Amino acid sequence: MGFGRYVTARVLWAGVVSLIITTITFLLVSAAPNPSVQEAATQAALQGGDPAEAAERARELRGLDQPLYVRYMDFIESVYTFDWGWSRSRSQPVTEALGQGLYYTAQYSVPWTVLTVLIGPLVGVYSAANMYSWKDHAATGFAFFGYAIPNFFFGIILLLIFGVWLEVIPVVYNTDVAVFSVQNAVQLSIPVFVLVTGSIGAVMRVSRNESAEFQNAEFMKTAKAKGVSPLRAYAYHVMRPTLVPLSTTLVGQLLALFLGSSLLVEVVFGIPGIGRVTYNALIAQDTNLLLGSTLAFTFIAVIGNLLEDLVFTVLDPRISYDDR
Amino acid sequence: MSRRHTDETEGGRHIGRRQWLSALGIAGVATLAGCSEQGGDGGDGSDGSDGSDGTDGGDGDDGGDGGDGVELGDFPKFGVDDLYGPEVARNLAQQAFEQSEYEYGFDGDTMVNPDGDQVEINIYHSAGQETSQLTAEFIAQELGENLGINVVVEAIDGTRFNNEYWTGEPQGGTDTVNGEEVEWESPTPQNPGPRSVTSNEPWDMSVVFGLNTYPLNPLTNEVFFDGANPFYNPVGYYPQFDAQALFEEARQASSREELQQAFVEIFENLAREQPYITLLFSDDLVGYNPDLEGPIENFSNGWDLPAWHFNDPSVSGSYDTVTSAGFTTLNPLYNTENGAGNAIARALDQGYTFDENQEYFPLLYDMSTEDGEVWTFEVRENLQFSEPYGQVTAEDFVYLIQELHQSDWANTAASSSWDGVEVEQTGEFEFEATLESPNLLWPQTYDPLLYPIPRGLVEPYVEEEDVEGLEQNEELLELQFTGNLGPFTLDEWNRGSGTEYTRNDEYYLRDIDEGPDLFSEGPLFEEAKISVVEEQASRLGALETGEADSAAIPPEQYESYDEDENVTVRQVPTPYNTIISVNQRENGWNAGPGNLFQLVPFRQALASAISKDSLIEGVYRGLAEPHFTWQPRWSEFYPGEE
Repeated sequence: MGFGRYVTARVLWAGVVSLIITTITFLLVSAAPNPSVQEAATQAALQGGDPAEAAERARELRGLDQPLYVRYMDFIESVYTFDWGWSRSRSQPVTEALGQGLYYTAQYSVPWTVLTVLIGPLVGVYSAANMYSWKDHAATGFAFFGYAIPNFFFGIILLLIFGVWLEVIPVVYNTDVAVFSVQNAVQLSIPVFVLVTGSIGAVMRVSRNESAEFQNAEFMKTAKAKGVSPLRAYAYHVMRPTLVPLSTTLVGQLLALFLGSSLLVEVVFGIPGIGRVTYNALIAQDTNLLLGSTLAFTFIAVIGNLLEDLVFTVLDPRISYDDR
Repeated sequence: MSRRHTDETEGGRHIGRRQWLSALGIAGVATLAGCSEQGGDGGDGSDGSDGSDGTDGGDGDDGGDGGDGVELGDFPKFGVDDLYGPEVARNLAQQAFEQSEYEYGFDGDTMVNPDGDQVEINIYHSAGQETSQLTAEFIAQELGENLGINVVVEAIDGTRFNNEYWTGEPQGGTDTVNGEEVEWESPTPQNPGPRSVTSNEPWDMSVVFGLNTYPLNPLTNEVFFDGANPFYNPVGYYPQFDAQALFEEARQASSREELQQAFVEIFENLAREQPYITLLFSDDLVGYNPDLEGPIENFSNGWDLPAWHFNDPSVSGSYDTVTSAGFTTLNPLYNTENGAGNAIARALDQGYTFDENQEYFPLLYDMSTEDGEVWTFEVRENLQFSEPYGQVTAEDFVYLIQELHQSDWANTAASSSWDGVEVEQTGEFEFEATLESPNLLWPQTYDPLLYPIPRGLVEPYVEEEDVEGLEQNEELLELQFTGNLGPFTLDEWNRGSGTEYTRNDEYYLRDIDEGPDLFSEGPLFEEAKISVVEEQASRLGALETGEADSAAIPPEQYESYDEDENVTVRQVPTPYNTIISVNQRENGWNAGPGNLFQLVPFRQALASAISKDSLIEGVYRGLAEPHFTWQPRWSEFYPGEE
């Protein structure tokens, strides 16, 4: 199988996966009682009307009296045409709510991801190169500190120091400033720092251990014997094989971190990102928005996995398309 | 302003009236979660903080505790002076034992049940709330020392307490109360039936919820006390006095004096019967920018926001506040949240407000009546919507009431306020409302409080009966029609981060004759902003650095902010009380046969065993006032001191 066919197959498979997840979501939602129907019934009961009749009317209004397969087709159609409904807890269309959330989340998560992917392996390889020296211990200590300290707590402490005491960053996140401006960089520096220290630990440890394996490998000895400079030796011959196992875990890990730790950091720093959108939708029982963010995360995960598979083959030419 | 019934201790969780109405149905859990924190302007306050510490004496009766009875007088103040201490408490408890059909008594210092075992009851407090826990522990200690009761303190989650203990499946039924047959015709979860109808879980006492005492409009208290079967009676209290007749008297009152008389009698009786053991009123603590002139320690704090300013009274700066939760909607027709109400108020005035003396202050319209039945609304003549909607006239209001609030399809937030009210336009700027039964305190119920909504804007939806369209209308959601009707105009509502406004140069309030002189130039800020900051530490940080001009202060941090020169802390009184709810239903009192909580002298004994002054000093750091009857002391319906 050639590269082109491999990519096509992967993309098609990603489509199938997303369809399966969407279908499961639909089945779960249709099995759960609809809050707006219940609300209509309660309203009617309060105002002396007939709750059963009101519920029936609400069901008709929302097309819930249609057979299951018709509703399923409608659902699938609206999912893939991005007609995701109205968010009751924010009074705006779901796609707009998610778009706004992603807009703010991207502003800190892009630098966060880039820095993690760059710094993590570098520190790891550096540690491995200086194994058991004080430099290794310092780097390891730094990584473990970031990994161990809860992000939200670290965030509050830094906010207290830099926001309240030193007043170098604003305490209330300002949504008015331009994305590419000094002010924005300043106000995002602390959240990004907190997130990078939180996620760098795992990446750094894995790459340290992996590269420790390669730095004494036959090809390294050969390279050294040929007089390759240490920089080139590490960058070309150690880094590249190290990144292969790393890239399998990286995307999944970052995605998991995305929702979990970004929510707490968003709450602490008051960034109106996707984590808070999702969390508040859950609290407010905003079904449409919740569904929308589930789907958004599903799509991100599916695309992430797809990219991972593709990056793989580029990093390590030995991986054949046929086996997988 | 307050239109809510319950409040989970510490002023942290308030439940909106409409949310509370919907709690009748399935949405109960959600409403408890949907609480609002008292941020921003601290809209609810009062003038009562004169630091009264119960030194009002014991009603001139000193013939206290000797002999059989305890002299209580018309308005007993339990838990202070003569009516506090082991002697009074035991005396009252003894009276209760005599009334009880079971043989309770004292064995030395210990209260024992008919089996001779020490009486042991439990008290629930809100889990994770320090003040609530300390209050419960203090109560346990006092009841142990003064009445020999073993009180077990337990923590519980507020939502769980509401669902399993506080409310029950409405069943209805009949019971004999004071020799009369009473029927529970329309039972509610908060009063599911007679005492035999109970919640799922048994419980004895609780300090989880505080309730609203409605000082501006005490008539609303009939939801708690209008006989044995009112709307809201989770504890199963049966009044021993003729509450229904007194509330009827209050409803029929045609003068302020008659009204006052009826209420004073009600509140004296409630002080005596202690349906809930009244403890105290605690204040909301609001921190302000020290340069800000305007905030007052008053129930109406914030009513004159257009006259607030920094330093000298000229237009300058930006008035920035923080709030803990985003807004669900800014559509004035559908908003039921306090926080969003504040956000709307920056850009759109309502009909009227109450000034620092709690007196009616006309904003968009003046209301007047002869007999409390027919009310005349006079709309100001200088009110303008944004183009193309033109001038605000009586027609807009009448159309709004008749075609939306009173319709059966629109389900607006104000719909229950206009049930059974007949509205008629009587002039270009005048309309009349006729009530089903007279009510001199109608404005105080907030029922006739209207937002101005242009007829032209809503007409298409009315014709189609299109609720969703109306809810999602962008002009309503983004407040684009507000013309000269608010101090500021809304520039942007960012759903995640809050609202931003600029000064409205055309504000109508500048041309009115009433109110402070500074209204003629108001508002005195160039801009305003409400930021959503969910983390409390960040909100307080913003207050300290001056990024926010106002934020709520948690009671345990009062001292540190009070000393901080970057913050001025104001104690703003609230209408919410701190009480011990004692379960008088069949699943209350789990210490032996019968239920001593049902006996008035026993509840009096509990009340006189707990020192209100020590509780306020020890637990509330002096930031509260003692609570003797169902009104704060500054209310005009508080029984007299003589």
